[in-house]
Amino acid sequence: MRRIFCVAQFTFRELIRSNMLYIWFLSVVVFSALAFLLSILSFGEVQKIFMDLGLVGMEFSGLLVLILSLAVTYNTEFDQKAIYLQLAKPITRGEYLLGRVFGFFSIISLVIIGMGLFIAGLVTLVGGGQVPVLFVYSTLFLLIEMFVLTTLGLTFQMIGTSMVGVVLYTMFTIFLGHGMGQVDWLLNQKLAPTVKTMLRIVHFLLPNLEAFNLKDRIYDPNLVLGWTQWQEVLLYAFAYSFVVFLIGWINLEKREFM
Amino acid sequence: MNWATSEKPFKYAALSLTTFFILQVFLCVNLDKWVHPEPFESSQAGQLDPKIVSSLRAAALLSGYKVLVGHVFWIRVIQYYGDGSNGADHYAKLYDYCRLASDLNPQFLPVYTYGAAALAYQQNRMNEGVELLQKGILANPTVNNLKLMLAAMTYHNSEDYAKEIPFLEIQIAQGNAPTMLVNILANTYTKAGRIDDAIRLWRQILQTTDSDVQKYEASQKLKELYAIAKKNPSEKDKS
Amino acid sequence: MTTPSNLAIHIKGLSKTYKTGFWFKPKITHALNNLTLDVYEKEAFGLLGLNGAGKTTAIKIILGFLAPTAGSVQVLGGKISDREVRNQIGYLSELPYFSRQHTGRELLEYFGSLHGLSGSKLHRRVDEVLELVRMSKASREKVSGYSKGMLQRIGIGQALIGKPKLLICDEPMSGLDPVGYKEMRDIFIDLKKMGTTLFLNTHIMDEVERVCDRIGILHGGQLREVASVSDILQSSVHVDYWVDVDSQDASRLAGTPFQKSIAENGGVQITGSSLSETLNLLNQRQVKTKGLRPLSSVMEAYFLKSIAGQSSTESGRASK
Repeated sequence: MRRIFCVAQFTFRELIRSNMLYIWFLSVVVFSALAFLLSILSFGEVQKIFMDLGLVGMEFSGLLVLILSLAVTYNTEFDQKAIYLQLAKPITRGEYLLGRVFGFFSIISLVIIGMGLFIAGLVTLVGGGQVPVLFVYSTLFLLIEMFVLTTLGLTFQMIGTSMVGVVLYTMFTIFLGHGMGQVDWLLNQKLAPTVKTMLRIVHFLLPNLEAFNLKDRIYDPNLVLGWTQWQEVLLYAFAYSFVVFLIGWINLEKREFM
Repeated sequence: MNWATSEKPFKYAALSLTTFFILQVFLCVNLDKWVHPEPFESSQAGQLDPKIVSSLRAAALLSGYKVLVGHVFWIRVIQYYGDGSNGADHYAKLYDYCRLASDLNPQFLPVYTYGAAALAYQQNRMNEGVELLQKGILANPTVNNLKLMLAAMTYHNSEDYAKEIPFLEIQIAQGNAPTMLVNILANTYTKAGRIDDAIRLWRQILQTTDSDVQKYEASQKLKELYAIAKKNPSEKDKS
Repeated sequence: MTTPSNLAIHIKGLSKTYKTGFWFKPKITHALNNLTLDVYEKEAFGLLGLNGAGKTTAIKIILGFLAPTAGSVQVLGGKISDREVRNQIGYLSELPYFSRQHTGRELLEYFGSLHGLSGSKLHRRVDEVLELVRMSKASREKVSGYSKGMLQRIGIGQALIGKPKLLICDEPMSGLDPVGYKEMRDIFIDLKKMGTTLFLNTHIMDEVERVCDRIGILHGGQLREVASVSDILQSSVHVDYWVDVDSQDASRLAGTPFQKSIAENGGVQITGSSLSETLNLLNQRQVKTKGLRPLSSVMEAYFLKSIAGQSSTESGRASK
């Protein structure tokens, strides 16, 4: 456990010093400016716009940090072979991978929570409004989504043979994962059985990122978010991440470092 | 653990992998109740280019930023309505634009209030305004503003301005109504013969608005209202 | 598999085959072919070979980075996958690369913590290692500002942080300037004195000559020779010598079987001879020498002959 913490701490420090926080700063500026502009132009609901765009900015900056971190660390660890010296140490490859997951996740969490606090502060202190509890829940859902995507991205890193490949796999998965709502819809249509089977396989293999997309439903009056939903979403995120982690681990164990 | 030479840990990993994969599939199926299946294609493009509508929906749904696309698209709607050249065909696409904006962001109320006010009061397309409001009420059943506006529009349609006014007043007093609705109330005061109230409201608009267009409109309206008040002083008593 | 207790590395019948190219038209490369080798505790062993001889492949298999196609490896009496075995190993890769965002000290602390060190124990060990690799002064600077030599020294530092019994280095002198090279060599000599087993993969003959006790020569994935360095140095391996003599004396050497060329100023290149044979020749012909220097090292000549397929010592596949 201590070794996992050491790898996580090392990864966190590496990423934070790779100027990843500039992305956070840039996101805060861009999304605040966009929110400000939209709120001027859109005839009302300033607070709603700020919170909607804040949540978008939080997810966007989290994803950007994830993708850039994957690219930066792929170059360091695999292209420049920094991983060799670490794996020669008394640490299992599973510990190494888990440490990386936690390291990545901690910097992404920092970015998301930091931006969330900024938006909440802007809405309450400057706008004099109130932050609904669903804003906090949406932030938590975002963090769960980021955990799943971090595990997935790092698994791609363990499988992938190039930095571009890892980044592209991750980005495609993000898009397709958000398209699961449409896959659900398609599955309810009249389709050829083979197409339906194929769709179902895709549905079960890809992460259902819409399950974590509370930000688009923050004002939805039909939203039911009880303990059952929390349990289901959390369990799903855990089960999916675990499967993906195991795949990454097995791949790292079997990987030949030429 | 010796993965390179022993298959035992691999067997454990494969077993856990299968177990958890089955669990995640089970949970994924369960989550379908939570994730609303959404049609990829908008069923009604109306007068809009279906290609644009589908690409917009694809961008919104696949990126996971539906609300953001909705907000940005809403600005496009406002631009469309603000562009005088579109007045030639009486802003024919306004209703479809509003409907698409509300599809993308069903809980964004200005789409309904602004859109319905523009359609019903300014373009005299009461039916489309009412339909948009009804859609808004269905998507936001707890929001009273939309219901108040629907009531006001119903009275407006039957030219019962006196009954329409309280609904507009409550809505404006709540502070969330678009500025356009304040103008509408001022005009309704005039129609109902409440010239003093109309003058008061236009003065208020003149003092508070930052828009030059609105300032001009308010000063013009005030000139007309002063003229009416001068010609017919008894109007004050009526109101 | 039982192995003598004094073996640091025990390699038996190790082979590695790579498949490259398209799946329907694979190209098979034999990187290692039936390598059998023992490295004893507390010795310094140098694995020599040309580029592509299979040295790095052998090290990667020893460290578990590659799975062998055939054969087995035992390190410090156990398997490399055992945490306890890896805890006693230090590894320095060729041109080690580190995250540029850390200082040298932070890197050593990180690698030390992977060895299970923590708190004051870790800090003490880091200080010791920094002292040993002569990096104490620059330890708080970011790695991005380090020279190649400094990086190499931090590299050796991370390998030593866990007080390894066995140190495996892949081309440790690669890219070093003469000062860095000397410093690194001194570190190896110190480590050897401290009783650390060294397994060096190199093609720098001087390093081998000064540091190693035994060498193995790998060529085309096959082990050509294993010999002790002292045997090689005392062997009758033929090297070229340059003899400074007067032009008159030079003519006395004309026609000898070893003489190759006579320069105008009187220098003579004597080729294909051992030192004792050269000295005998000069004595017999009563040539007054002003100077004598070898044109290549004994080790180099031995190596070149070995890869050409001519073993020149009696030791052959020697064991200790």
